[in-house]
Amino acid sequence: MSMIFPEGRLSIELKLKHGAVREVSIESSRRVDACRVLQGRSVQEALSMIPMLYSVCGKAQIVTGAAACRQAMGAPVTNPARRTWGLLVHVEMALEHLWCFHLDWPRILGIKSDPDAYFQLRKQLESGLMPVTGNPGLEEMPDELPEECADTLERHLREQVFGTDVLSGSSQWEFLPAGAGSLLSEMMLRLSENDEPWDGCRMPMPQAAEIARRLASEEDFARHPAWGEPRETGAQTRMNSHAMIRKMKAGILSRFAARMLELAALPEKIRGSGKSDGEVSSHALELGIGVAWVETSRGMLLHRVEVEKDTVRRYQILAPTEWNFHPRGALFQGLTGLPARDERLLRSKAEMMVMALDPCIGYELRIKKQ
Amino acid sequence: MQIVSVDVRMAKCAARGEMREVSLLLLEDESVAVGDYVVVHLGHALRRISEQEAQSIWALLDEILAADPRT
Repeated sequence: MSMIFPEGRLSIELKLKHGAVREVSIESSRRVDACRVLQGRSVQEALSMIPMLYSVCGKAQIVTGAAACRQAMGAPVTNPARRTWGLLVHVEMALEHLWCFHLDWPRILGIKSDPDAYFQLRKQLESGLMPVTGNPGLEEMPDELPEECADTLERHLREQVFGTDVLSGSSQWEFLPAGAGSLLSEMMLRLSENDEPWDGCRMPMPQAAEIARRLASEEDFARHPAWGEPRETGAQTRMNSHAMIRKMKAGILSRFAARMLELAALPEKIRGSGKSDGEVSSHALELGIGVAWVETSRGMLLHRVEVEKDTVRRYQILAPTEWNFHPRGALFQGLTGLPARDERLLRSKAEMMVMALDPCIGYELRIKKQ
Repeated sequence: MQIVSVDVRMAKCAARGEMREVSLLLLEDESVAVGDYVVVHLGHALRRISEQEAQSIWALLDEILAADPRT
């Protein structure tokens, strides 16, 4: 196949027999080794190239790269850097969750939405972050910036998403009456009508340092990561201790709900950027080898870099799409056994499951009768 | 990709013989015109870039593709 663009696609195929999905094939043509082009370059040059390579979750990619390189070079991760990185990651997570809410889910569910307010929010937040993203070290930011970003996001959530104060909205959300007319309640109603039991991968993610070690030693790990069995990463796994998620049966709706609950909490996280652990985590594995990881809207993103005398010798990235769309991963588990008597309904549910995991690349879905 | 035609909020963009229909919603406040370069992902123009940036990105993508045995 001629390959002009290297972003790749997912190819998902369902084979039906006796009224159910009996076989599921998930293949990805994504170039997980694209980051090899960073090798042999100076650290500064490599970091400046990351935004050219990754347009989705671009800020998380830049921040994770900067943290991993700093660790590899033995440079300290300062508090101002930690604070700035946390802000960038949280704002990007909010915008990605909201993209799904305003654009992707309405398209999948056949609900009319007007995303203009989202585009305005995105422009406002991104222009607000310009003093930070224009600074190559990503170290300094105006003191008032987190508060301004949080206020802007909070206003949008109140007026365009939850229809109420964000904090009370997050606790009362489950009681929103179906058919209340808001986009959120309409989506919840459709998702509850179409929900399917879907445990996914219940085992927790391993320690990032262990993941980084396997990434270094196993050639296929970046393409098909698994830990004995595949793991799931994303809002569902991050929010699984939340009372509302614990009460729900794992499914399409619970994954949607986890994203919305996480979104509701993001203004406060933005205000507190850099003040809590785990926003941008990093450490040196050994001299010259750094690893860093962040939680993005889709799940854990990890960078591992080897540096020798300011030159990148090896660069590896492990993205959440590879965990969740593993050939035997969370999507595979959800799709296997789905009822298939109504092919149109099956396609619709399969698309909802893909959307619930939100791949960072496009996909095609084929259904074959055996 | 380079914009070859604009129709309100949509554009046709081309690169290396491939043509894509792209939404311009994210660039509404910017004046984009035929001949401009944009970064495209999943049907949306994410940001406008200079011709020089576009060339740099293509040079990188060429390196990636050159290392790919499937191409």
